[in-house]
Amino acid sequence: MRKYVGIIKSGFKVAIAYRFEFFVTLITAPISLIVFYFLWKSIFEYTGVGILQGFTFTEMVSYYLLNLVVGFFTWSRIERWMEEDIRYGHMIKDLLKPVNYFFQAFYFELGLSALGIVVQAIPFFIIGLVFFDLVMASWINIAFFVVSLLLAHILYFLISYIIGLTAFWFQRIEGLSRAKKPIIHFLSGGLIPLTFMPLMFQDISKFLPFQYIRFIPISFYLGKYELNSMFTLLAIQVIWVLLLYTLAHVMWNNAFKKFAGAGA
Amino acid sequence: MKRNFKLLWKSWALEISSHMAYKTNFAIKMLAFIIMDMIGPLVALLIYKNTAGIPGWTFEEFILFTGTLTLVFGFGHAAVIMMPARIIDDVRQGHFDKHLLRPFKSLTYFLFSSPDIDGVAEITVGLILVSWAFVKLGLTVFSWNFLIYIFLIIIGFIFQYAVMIMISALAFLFVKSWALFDVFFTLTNFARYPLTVYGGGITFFLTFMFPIAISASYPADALLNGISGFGILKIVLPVFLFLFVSVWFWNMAMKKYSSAGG
Amino acid sequence: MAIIKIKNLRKVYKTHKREAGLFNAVKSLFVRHYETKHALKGISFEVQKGEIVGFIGPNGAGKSTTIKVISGVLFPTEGEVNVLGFTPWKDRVKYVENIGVVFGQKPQLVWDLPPIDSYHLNKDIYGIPEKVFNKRLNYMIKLLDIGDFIKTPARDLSLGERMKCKLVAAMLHNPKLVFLDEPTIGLDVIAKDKLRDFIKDTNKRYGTTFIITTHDMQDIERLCKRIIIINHGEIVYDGNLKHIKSKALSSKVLDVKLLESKDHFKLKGCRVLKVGKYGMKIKVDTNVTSIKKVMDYLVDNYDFADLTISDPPIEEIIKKIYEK
Repeated sequence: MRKYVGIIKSGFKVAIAYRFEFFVTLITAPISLIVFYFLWKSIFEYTGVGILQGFTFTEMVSYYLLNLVVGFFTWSRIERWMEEDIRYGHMIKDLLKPVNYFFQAFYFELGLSALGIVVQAIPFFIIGLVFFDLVMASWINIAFFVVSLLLAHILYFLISYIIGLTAFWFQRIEGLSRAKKPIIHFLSGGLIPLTFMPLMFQDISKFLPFQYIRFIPISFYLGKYELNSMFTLLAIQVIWVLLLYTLAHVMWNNAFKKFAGAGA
Repeated sequence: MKRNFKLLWKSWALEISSHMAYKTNFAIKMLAFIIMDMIGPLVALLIYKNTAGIPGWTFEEFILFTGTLTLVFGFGHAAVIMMPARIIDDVRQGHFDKHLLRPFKSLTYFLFSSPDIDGVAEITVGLILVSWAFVKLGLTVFSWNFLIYIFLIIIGFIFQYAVMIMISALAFLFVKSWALFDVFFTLTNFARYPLTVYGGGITFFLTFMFPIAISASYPADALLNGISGFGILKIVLPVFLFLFVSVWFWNMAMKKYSSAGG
Repeated sequence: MAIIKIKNLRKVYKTHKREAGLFNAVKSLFVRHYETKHALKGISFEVQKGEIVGFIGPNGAGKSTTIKVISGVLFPTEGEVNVLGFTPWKDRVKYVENIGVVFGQKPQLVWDLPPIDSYHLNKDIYGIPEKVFNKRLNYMIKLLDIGDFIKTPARDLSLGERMKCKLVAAMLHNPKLVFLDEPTIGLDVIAKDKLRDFIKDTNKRYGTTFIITTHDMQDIERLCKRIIIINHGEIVYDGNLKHIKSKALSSKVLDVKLLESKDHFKLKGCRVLKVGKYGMKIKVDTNVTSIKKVMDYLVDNYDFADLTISDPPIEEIIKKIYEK
């Protein structure tokens, strides 16, 4: 673990070097919140009901606010770094180092995320509590929220990492990488709560990894589930982490066998 | 002028042939953009299925709105979005000089040499959505309103160009960073829904200060409900004002770059 | 006929700096230090049509600032510049049609495409007529021997191949004046030779004027009759290459790898720069003693494995000139 501290630090330094971007996000992130606020305000007024698909207007605002907070944990651009590493042959070179590429990548982005979590996620959470009627959840819901959020972070990273590994076969993966973000965003409930989806989709969604990235953690916080269901959902989330980790491992070994010898 | 169009033509030829080198990636990328651009209408569908919808717009009308937006952003994407991207990258790596060694005025050069094939996917989706709405709403192209609609779409593109000039210029003046790019894309979020969603303050901001409502709200509204001469003037003038300020900033940025050397 | 006339050119910059380390990275969030730098302190020179001028000096001496001003991408703080009848930074758009610039370490070709596509782009940008374009391209392809790879994507070319292709791109429009910034950096000996022959031939055939910045003494010796040495933003030498060589290169450096450890090396006109257990570095003043004498002495008294003789590095020559 100790050798990875340096990697976390270097990720943090990169984040500092891009400090302007971080400050700018403080201004830009609330804009999408403002857009959603007005959109749902007008829809609620126009429809003339108090609850839409299980959400009151206040809950809806909380949903998008938590969505914003969760977003600082669930992101990754590791596939772009990997694409370059693979293309220029750094990946194979890294195999000779005594550090594991997977953990190196993971900790690097963890370092990058650290600044965002401190200067963005936490402040927004507090802003939500003070200005947007965000209700302080019960400690048990918060506990589930936090655990689920950390797992969501790992899930998102794993999906990106697997996309990154496909660069061994495809060389260029710009297309996949571009498609990743909006598709996950939509399927995870980043644009609209999943309760608005057709029932059939909601059923399928339980067995896909995506809703565990945003919708489930947020719903835990908002207390949308009984304790029993929460345990079940968390278990499924853990299973997905293990499944994707195994998949990444298998892909890595295959790629290594296939390309290391060829000097890729 | 002939040379400018030659530059535009050649730049597109180069853009297309460089994508042909990685055909699979290209196909996936185009598909990705089409999916991305379909997500907006999909969310709209979910909203209209579950609620009374967005005030003042039926679902078909909203698709016309979204289609127009995708079209205008698509034009911007295809023609000018690469401008700040190239500039920021090159300034960061110290390669910007090579552009100044081209025998063109800097803005002209970038306007005619920044194609991005990704925009074509967006334009395609935009055209499909608009056409679908045209059929559903029984609109016709043989009308005065349609001419105004086209005119406003062109103005919408000009605004895209102005914003790209502004981002590029500010990137030169203050930070060699992508941050301003993000600011722009976040501000475009306002344009994703019609002005009827917002209150007066934001409508004012989106019409006069950062006139991005020209991208879809105004053209779609003009097509559906007509617009007065004064109405056109009111929404077109701010765009040209914005363009004017952007060009002024750009010239200032070039002056600063040329005296500091990046 | 002078095609470049520069009088009292001055340039002052402001830069900010940041120290390494995590603490300083955090600190730079809040505080930034600026400093003023005098890049050019009033330089003047002229270049005649058809000259090949070597423009040399250590890193940060003001070479690239000068080149940037003369090529029109940088405003000077003060001074007069007239190139081909233009004031470069004022008449940039028209002026740059007449010049060609090659940066050794910067990409100038479209990365994913073969150079030939970049050439066709340049053809349209500079409005080169089809016939002229073909004739010039064929001439350059032949001379540089690049016919085999102008249809290979630039990213797949070797450094030397890419350099040659860049040179062609910069010269298709037959510029009267060409700036070459480190044209041979990182190239192998054969590629360097090809490049130098090309420059010489073009200079003769078309009367093209070249200004070359380089750290490679071989480039200078093979190509330039005249050199301008710049240091700390001032011209410290402007003149004949032969002259400077006889003046400054009055010493050689001998690197000897010994098979046995032995102490004290003593010979008139020699100075031991560095001595280790199995090797030493000796500087020989060729005005006092000849290299042959030193060699004889070494053969007689030492058992050595290897011996290299080299000119003192360019920085040292410049230092010497600067000290005068």
